[in-house]
Amino acid sequence: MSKRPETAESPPEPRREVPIPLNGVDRRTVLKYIGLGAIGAVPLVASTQLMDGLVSDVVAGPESVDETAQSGSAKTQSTRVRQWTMIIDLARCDGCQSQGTAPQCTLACIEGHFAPQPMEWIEVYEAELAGGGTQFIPTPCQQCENPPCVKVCPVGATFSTPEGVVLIDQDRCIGCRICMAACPYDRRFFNWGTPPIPPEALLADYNPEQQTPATRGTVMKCDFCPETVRGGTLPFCVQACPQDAIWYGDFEEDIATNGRQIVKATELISERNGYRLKEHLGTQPRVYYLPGHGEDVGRDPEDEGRMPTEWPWIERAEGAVTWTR
Amino acid sequence: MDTMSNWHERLVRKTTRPTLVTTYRYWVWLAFLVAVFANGVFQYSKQWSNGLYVTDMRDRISWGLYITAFVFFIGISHAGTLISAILRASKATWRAPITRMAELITAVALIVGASFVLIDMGRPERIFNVFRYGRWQSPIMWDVMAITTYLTASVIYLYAPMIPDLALYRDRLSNKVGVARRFFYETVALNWRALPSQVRLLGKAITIMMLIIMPIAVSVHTVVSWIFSMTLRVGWNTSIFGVLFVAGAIFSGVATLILVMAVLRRIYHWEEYLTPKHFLYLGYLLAAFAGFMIYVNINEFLTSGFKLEEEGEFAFRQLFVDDFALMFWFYIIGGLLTPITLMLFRRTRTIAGVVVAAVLVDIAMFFERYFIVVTGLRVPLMPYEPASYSPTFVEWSIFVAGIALFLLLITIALKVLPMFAIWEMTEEHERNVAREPIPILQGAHEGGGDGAPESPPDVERLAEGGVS
Amino acid sequence: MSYRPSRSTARIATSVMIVATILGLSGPAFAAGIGISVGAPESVAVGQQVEVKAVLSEDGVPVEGAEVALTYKATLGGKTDRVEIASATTDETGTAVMVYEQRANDNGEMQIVYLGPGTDPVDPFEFTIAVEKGGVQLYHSESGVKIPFVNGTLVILVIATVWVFISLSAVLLARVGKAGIVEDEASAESGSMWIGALLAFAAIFTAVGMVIVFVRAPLANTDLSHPGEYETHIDEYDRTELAHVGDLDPYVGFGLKDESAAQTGDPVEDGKVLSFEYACAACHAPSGLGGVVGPALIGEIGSFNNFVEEVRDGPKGMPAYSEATLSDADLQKIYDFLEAGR
Repeated sequence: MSKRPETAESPPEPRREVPIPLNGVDRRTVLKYIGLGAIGAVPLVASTQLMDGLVSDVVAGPESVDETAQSGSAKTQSTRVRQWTMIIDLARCDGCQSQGTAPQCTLACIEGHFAPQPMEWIEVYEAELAGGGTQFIPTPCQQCENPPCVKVCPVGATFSTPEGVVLIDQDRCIGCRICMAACPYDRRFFNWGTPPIPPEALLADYNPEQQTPATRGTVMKCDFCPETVRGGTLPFCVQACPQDAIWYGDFEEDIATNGRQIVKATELISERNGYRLKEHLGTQPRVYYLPGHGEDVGRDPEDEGRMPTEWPWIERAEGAVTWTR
Repeated sequence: MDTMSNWHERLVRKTTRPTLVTTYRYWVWLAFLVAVFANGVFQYSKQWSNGLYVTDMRDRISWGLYITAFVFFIGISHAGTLISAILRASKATWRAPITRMAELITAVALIVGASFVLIDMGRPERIFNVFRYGRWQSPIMWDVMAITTYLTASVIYLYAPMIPDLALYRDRLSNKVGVARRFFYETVALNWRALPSQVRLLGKAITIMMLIIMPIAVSVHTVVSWIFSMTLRVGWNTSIFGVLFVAGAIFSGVATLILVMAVLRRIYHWEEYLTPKHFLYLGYLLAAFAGFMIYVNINEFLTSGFKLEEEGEFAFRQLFVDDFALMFWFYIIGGLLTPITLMLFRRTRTIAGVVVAAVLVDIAMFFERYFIVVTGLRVPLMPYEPASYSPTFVEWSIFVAGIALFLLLITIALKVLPMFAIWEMTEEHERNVAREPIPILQGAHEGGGDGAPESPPDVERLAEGGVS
Repeated sequence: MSYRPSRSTARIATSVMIVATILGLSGPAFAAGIGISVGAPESVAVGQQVEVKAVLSEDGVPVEGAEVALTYKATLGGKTDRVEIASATTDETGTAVMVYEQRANDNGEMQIVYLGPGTDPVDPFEFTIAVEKGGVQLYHSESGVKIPFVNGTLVILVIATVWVFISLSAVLLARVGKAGIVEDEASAESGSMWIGALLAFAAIFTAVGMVIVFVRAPLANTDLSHPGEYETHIDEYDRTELAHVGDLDPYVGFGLKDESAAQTGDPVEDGKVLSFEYACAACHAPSGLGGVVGPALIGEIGSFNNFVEEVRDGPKGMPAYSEATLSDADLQKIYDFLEAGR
């Protein structure tokens, strides 16, 4: 796990000016990382190495204190916390039939997270339409606001963050699987054996937001990639969707983007009659669906079937077993 | 008519026989159980090193035989304590010879049942996380709490009434047993010499435990059912589950008690103490609970089946006509209707009949636990093909090892612990001798309502037709 | 959705007051000869209902029936774009009144966009509204009913009561053993009461332990879903970082949607794009700072020959990229990008 340089209670570290040797990262960003470290939180995964280097620089550095630097802890910045959401436009989802590949959201998610076979954290289900034909429903973890899985976990290994994301701490999970029984969306996956992951996944620094590397006997699921968004990019599935059907957004600022444009999230939902899966259960998912069956990208509802998912690195997963769902 | 001391001498001689006499059959039986258990341990070592991959549980049916076994054994544990406490509280005098066995079954079944939770865990080495990070909001934690409480309480409740008997063993057997057991008896007999102060203290302890253990026992299986009914799954999401589980627990517990009694009675010739009357009464209890189970099941299935919300149709189809129909109808016909029928007719109201009913009930209740766990998980939640589950050899081995452990612990207890509440039986006998003729208890239990008149000829008949 | 407009009705009044002290923004904004003057508050607070008035006129004549929209500049997931937050049609006086709720935390770079009628492209009218830093959380996820006393305390009380009785019984048993010690025989028998004491100790120990587990539970597992509450138990909440509003890095892109993006002509820029195209970023993170799996590349790559060799080889579990997948020319661009980073 990443280190915690300071505790919340410790007096604020005098901020020093750091010569920034990096292209594309301004001083403010770097100082922000330091600030985040100072509140005792886990540093951003994407900057772990950077963090280590910079923190020691700061401690050793003789430079003068820059009081005006825009930094400080998250607390002083704002008390408002992002409220992540996902809005999936079914009218634009053709299950990647037009691409001739397995759904690319699933593939990107697998590559990005090294999700062990057969875990499709975002799985594209094909459901019957009432009037015949089918629709495709990309289904990530629904990130319920009233999450049945969090309520039943005996050790608090699965928890809701203030950002509204449900995460799993695989370092704490005892593998009792009651959360899998409790999830009404079939969105939880268990590492029944030694998970099949490629060797490079083992190099990763574990973090509940990143779930890499997978370990045996623990539960996994879609983590909503909040750290990816904080790092300035969009979740793997959103980036990968060739039809821009997946919107990722924040209800606190009330915006959502599919990588092409940004819109007002609530307006998008209400204008397109958005709904949520199994709303009657009262789980209050954070994932919204805009009704459709791929008609906006020219899919015929009678055109059934999608390509099966493949795990690109599965041959390099040494000593691992695979199983079916 | 015996004199009192003769009667008591014979009682002590007969009940201490398993402790003193060890036949080669005992060793063969012990070796067999140890072998079966060892196989289970070996299979578990495979699971330990390979993960739950060696089972047939997968993401969609993520609980299977282990959880079934957990529920089943915790159910069996209700045999004892609850029955013994209820009978003791209601001063049903015929209870004296069966309470000890019932209480022993409780403690043993609880140990076996609780270990299946560990076996089912994906990361058993992290069990202490349950205490480090335990959340009281989780049904699993409720289970941990309830089972810990119940285990502690039932061990005390097994132990407290056993102290006078252990003292008897200490006084009578010390010269006849090895040094280990002599030390054991001397230690656990707690200096018991039936001093008035001791009798008062012990009586108080027993009364407290008797009263407190009834709500604990009821809560335990209710909480076990909540593991299921606190989810949103069709088939599990029902408020009657607590009642169904508690009733089923007592039901299967009584059946197991009958079986243990029948076997020990036959091996150690305890016909004088485990009389047909005991089997008959327990048989009535079985029939009464079968009736109650039918009622609860109708409640459960009719209220959800009438409406058939969402995935309800699939749940019903798989249970009533498709994959699990055989198990389900065996449970209904074999496990619920047959025991009632057997107790209804004079011809079958024998020890043999009661034992047959008990066997059927135990099998049926295992099936019931199995199909509750598996069918609940099998209902598809999203548009996908329903999964299938058939336990692997590893799972069966570990399950059978659980049964073996259950029998093994009872077998070992036979060598060490008094299997009868000798002092209670003596007290009871004294009372009966004092007020001849022996009255047959009227309406000792709700089973009496079946219209079976309890007349002495009936009891005699039973004795004739009973297992020899 | 459980978003409740927070105190907005109370605030709309204040904002209207501010509108009275408008900055007089006006001038020819729309190229098609349409002039616009805007009335908007100078500064707003987060969560406030804001009223923006736009008056459109063409050669002094009010424009009626024109559709205008209000947008602001937002950034999310690295993407920066204008978001339409309100729209209106002008009345006979040429006035369009647009009301929106201030959700963004940054300075509002606002625009009024002319939508129609007419297809002539017209330049949007730009202005800025200052946003007061801070503000309270607007979106809450709230579920559940809180009933006094029907909570963990009750559970602890019940469990404690039960365990008091169990412990009491165990203590009674220990006393049974003690009562059995007769004075003159004490030496012979004294050893045989310890089991009762042990039992009593075990019962009390378990009882206390259980209550401790229960009492600790809410602390160890605070309901983390409520912003604000996590701060009370910050020590327990160290498993994930939080994203605060107005707190994002510039977008560097991840996953190439447009091939032409790699032909900017600037080798460094091309390399940046290419590095994503070939999923370097999947392991090494955007900008090559090092990520989930891969180490930092910026400033770590050494000579170009060395770099090419490593990429073709795939050291330490990294996939090897052949000449066919990634040409030397492309590698040169990526190298330049990483070098430039140093």
